Amino acid sequence: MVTPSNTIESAATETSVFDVRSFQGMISVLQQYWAEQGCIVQQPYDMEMGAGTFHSSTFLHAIGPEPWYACHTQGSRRPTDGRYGDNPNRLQHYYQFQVAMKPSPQNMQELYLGSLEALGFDLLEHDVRFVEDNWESPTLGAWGLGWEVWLNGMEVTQYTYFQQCGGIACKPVLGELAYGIERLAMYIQGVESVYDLLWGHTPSGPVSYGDVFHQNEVEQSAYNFEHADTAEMFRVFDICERECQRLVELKLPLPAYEQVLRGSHTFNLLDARHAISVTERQRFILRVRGMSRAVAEAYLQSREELGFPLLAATAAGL
Amino acid sequence: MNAADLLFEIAVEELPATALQPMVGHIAEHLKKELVAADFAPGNCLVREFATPRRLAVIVSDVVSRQQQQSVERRGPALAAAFDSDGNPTKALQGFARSCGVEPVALERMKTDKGEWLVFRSVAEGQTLSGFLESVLNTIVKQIPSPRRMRWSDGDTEFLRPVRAVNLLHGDEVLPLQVLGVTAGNSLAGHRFHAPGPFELASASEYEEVLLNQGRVIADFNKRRQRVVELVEACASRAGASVVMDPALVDEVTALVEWPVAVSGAFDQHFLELPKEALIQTMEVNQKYFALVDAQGNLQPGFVTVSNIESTNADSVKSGNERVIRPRFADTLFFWEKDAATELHTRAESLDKVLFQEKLGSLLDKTERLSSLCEYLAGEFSADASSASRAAQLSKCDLVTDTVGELPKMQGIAGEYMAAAGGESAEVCVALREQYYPLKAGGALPESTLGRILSIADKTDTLVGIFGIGEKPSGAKDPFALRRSAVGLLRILIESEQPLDLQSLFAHSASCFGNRLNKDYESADTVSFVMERLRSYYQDRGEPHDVIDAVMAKGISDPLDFHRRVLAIGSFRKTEAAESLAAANKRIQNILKKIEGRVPDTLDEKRLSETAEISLAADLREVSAELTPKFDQGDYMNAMRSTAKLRDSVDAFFDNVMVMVDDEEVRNNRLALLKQVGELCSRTADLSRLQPEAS
Repeated sequence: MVTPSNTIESAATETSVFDVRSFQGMISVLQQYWAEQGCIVQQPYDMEMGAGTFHSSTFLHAIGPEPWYACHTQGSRRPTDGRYGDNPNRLQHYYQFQVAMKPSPQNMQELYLGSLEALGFDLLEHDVRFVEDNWESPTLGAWGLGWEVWLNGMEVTQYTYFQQCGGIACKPVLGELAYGIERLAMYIQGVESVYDLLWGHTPSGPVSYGDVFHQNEVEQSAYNFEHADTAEMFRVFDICERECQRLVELKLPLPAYEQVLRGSHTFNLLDARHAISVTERQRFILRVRGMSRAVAEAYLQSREELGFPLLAATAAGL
Repeated sequence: MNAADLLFEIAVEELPATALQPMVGHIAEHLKKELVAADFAPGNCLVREFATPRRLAVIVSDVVSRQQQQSVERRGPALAAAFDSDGNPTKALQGFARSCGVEPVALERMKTDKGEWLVFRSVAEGQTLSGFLESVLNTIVKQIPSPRRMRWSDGDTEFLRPVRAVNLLHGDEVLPLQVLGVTAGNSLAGHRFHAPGPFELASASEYEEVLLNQGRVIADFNKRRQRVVELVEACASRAGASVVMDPALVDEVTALVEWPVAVSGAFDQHFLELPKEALIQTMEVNQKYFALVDAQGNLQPGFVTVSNIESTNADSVKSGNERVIRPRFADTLFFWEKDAATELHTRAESLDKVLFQEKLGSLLDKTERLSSLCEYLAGEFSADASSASRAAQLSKCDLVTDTVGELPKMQGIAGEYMAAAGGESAEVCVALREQYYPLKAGGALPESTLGRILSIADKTDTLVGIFGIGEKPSGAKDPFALRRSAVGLLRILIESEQPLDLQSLFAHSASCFGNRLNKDYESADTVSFVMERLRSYYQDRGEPHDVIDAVMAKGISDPLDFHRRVLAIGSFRKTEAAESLAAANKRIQNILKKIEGRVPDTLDEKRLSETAEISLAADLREVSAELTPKFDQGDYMNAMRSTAKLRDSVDAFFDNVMVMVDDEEVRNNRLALLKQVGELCSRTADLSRLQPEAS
C-alpha cells in the first residue's frame, strides 16, 4: 500500500519506481493504487483513438450485466489540437490514465480521492472539487453524468457514471475516471511546459517528455494539418463502414469494433484538415454512431451467447 | 405527541450548481403542501430550506405525529328513493351502503328543508406521520423537475447524482422509512475534508447548528451566499481593488462550496492587452473567478476565487489557480494576435462555409439578407443606409475568428474591436457589439441607432426564416430561441420609442429569402407570434391582462403603437368614466351581435326623432372631430378622454330610446348610430374586453 504523504516532495525517494516526481513514477503509483482497489492493470489499446473511453475496457465493458474493474494508460489522439510542438499545453497525442469500475462502487469518490493522496496531494492543503460536467459522445451513442474534478481550479480528471453506451442502457452502471496525467505531472513537477516534464532517469541522464515526444508533435502536426491525403481518407472511411457492417453480420463484434476506431480516427483527421463541411460533419457523426451501435448490439449478443462468463466468475467467487 | 420540527435531508454526491435552489424549492413547496393538506401541519407552519453541493434539506415546523380523527359524512339517496313500496331497501340504497362498507340499517337519517336523506357517518382514526410520509416523499423527489437523472452502481433508483443517505427526523424521533432506495436515519456527513463525520443528529431542530459547529458546513444557501459576498469583497479590498460581481456567478460559486474561503491571485500585466471582456469571460465562465477593477473601472491583473477549504497552506491554492489561468490567457492572446493579422472585412468570403441553417443557407446568405433589411430599416429610422449596410456586412465576420471559436461569448465584442482596428466608423463598431443585445431576459438594449437596426434585422431574419421553414417553437422546444428574439425585438422598439410596422418588416424580410421559404408561408403568423409575446412582457410589468386583451383585439402590428394604447387604456380604466363607457360599449356590442344581416354603416340624421338620439348623434360628431387628430397622432390618452364625453349621452340614449322598434328604417338607423358610437369607443382598444375593476 502506498502511504499517503503530506507533501509531494516526501512521496518517495528519487530512485524509487514510485517517485511521483517523474512521469513514469506517477503512472506506476496510479497503477499500483488501482490494482490495490481490485482493478486489473490492462495495457493501452494498440490503435489510434480520441480518448481512453474508446478502449474496449471502457466502451465494450460498459455494455451488459458483467462486472469489470480495470485501469490502464491510453494514448489519445486529437489531430486538431496539434500545435507543431510550439504550445506548452496542447498536444495532438497525450496520455490519459483510465479507470473503469462496474458496478460503480458506492465509495468511488473516496477511492478517487485516495488516488490523489497516493500521488502526494494533501486534501487539507489543496482545494479539490467535483464540478458538474456531463459527458456525451455522439459518435459512440454514449452519455453519462458526472464531474470534472478540480484541483486548485485545474481540471485534472473526468469522472463519469455511464448511462448509455452504443445506444444501450448501462445496467449496472460503469464508473469511469480519466486522469489527464500530463497536467497532473506538470503540477507535481512544477513545470510550465509539458515538454519540460521529467519522464525518468537513465544511465545517460534524465529523459524529458520533450525528448520522447517533441519531434513527434512537430511531424504529426504537419501530417494532420498539411499532408494527410484527404481523398484517400474518405475512401478509408467508406471501407471501415463497409467492413464494420460485414463483420457485425459475421458475428465478429471485436474486429468490427476496430473498424469503428479506425473510422472514427479517420473522421478526426478529415476534420483537422477542414475537409468536412458543417452539414456533412453531422452526417459523418451519424455514420460512426451507426457503426458503434451495431457493434454494441452484436457484442451484447455475443456475450449473452457465451453465458456472460464474467458473471459466472463472480458467482463462483473467482 | 406535541408538534415538532420535521427534517428531511437527502445527502448526495456533488449536485450540478444550478440545480440546488430549484430542487430544494420544489421539495419545500410540495412537502409543506402535502403536510398541510393532510392536517399534519398548520397552514402557517415555517419551512426552512438548506442546500449545498452535497445535501438538500427541508425543515417544516409544527408537524404532528398523528392526524386528528377524521369525521366522515356521506349523503346517500333521498329517503323516498331508498325504500320501495314494501319498505325494502332499493338498489340505490344497497349500492350506497355497500360503498360505505355497512348494512343499510347502519345508516342514519338527515333532515333538511328540502327533505329527508340517508347518511353515513363515521370517525376514522388519523394516519400516523410515518405511515403518511413514505409515499409522499418518494413522490415528491420523483417529481423534482430536472433535465437529466441518472442511475448508479447496480440499483434502479434515479436521481440527479448518486444518493448517499437520507435523514428523516421528527423532533428527536428517527423515521426509518425507505426513500430513494435507502433507509432514512439520522447520521449526518460534514464537510468532505474538514469534518467528514458522521455526526449523529439528536433532534431535527439542531440540524443547522450541528452542521455548522461540528460539520464545518454552512447549510443555508442564503447565509452561505452572504458569506461568499463578504469574503470576496474583503479579499478584493485587501488587494486594493474592487470586484466585478455578477449575481449569477455568486449563486454558482455558492453552490460549489460548503465552507467558502476566498483566495486572491494575480496574472501577468501583459495579458491586459486582451479585450477586458475576453479576460472577464475566461475568469467567470471557465474558472468561476471574480475579476478585479480599480476605482476607475479598469481591469486589474488579478482575481478572487472561492475555494472549499481552509488550506493548511493557502499559497498552494493561490499558486495552483494562477497556474491554471496563465495558459488559458496565453492561448487567448495567441488567437487574438493571430486573428489581428487578418482584416475583419476580408473574412466575409469564408462565411459561405459556415451554415446558418440547412434550408436557410450559410452565414454569407444571412449577411446578404441582413444588408437588405438594414437598408430598409435605415429608411424607417432615418439613419444612414450605407452605414447600416456596412454594419450588416461585417456583422458575422467575427464568428469565423479563432478568438470567438475559443470564447463563443466574445461574438460581437470581438467584431467591435477588430472593426475598430480596421478603421471602421465608431457607429458601425458599436453596432457589431449591440446586435446581440439584449443578452439575457431584461438585459441592456442597444443604445445606438445602428445597433438597434442591426439587432432588429438579425432577430427578424431568424424569426421569419425559421417560421418560414415550418420550425416554429412548440411547447418547451425552441432551439433557435425565437421567443427570446421576439421579446428582444419588442423591447427595442418599445423602449427606444421607435415606431415600426412588423407586418411590412416581416414581409420585406420574407422577400429576402428568395425561394427558400415554404410556399404557404404567411408572415402574418410570425407577426402574431411576436405580438403575442407582449402578454408576458406586460405581465412582468404588472399591466392587467384585460387591458392587453383589449388592445390585442385590435390586431395591431406596430409594437410602439400597441404600447401607447396599453398605457392609455391602463390609466383610462382607472377613471370614473371608464367603467360606464365600458359597460355601454358592452351593451352596444351585445345588441349588434344579435342582429342578423348587415347593420348599415351610414347614419341618416334626418330620421332621428327622439331627443336623446339626436343629442347622441351630435355628441358623436363633435367627439369624433375632436378625437380623430389626437388618435392619428397616437395621443391615445387624450383620445380616450374625448371619448369619455360620450358617456352621458350614451346613458341617456339607453334610458330613453327603444332600439328594436318595428319600423325597420328607424331601427336600422339607431343601430347604425350605435355601431358608430361603438367603433369610436373602440378605436384605441376593444373596451368590451375590460373587466370590472376587480381584476
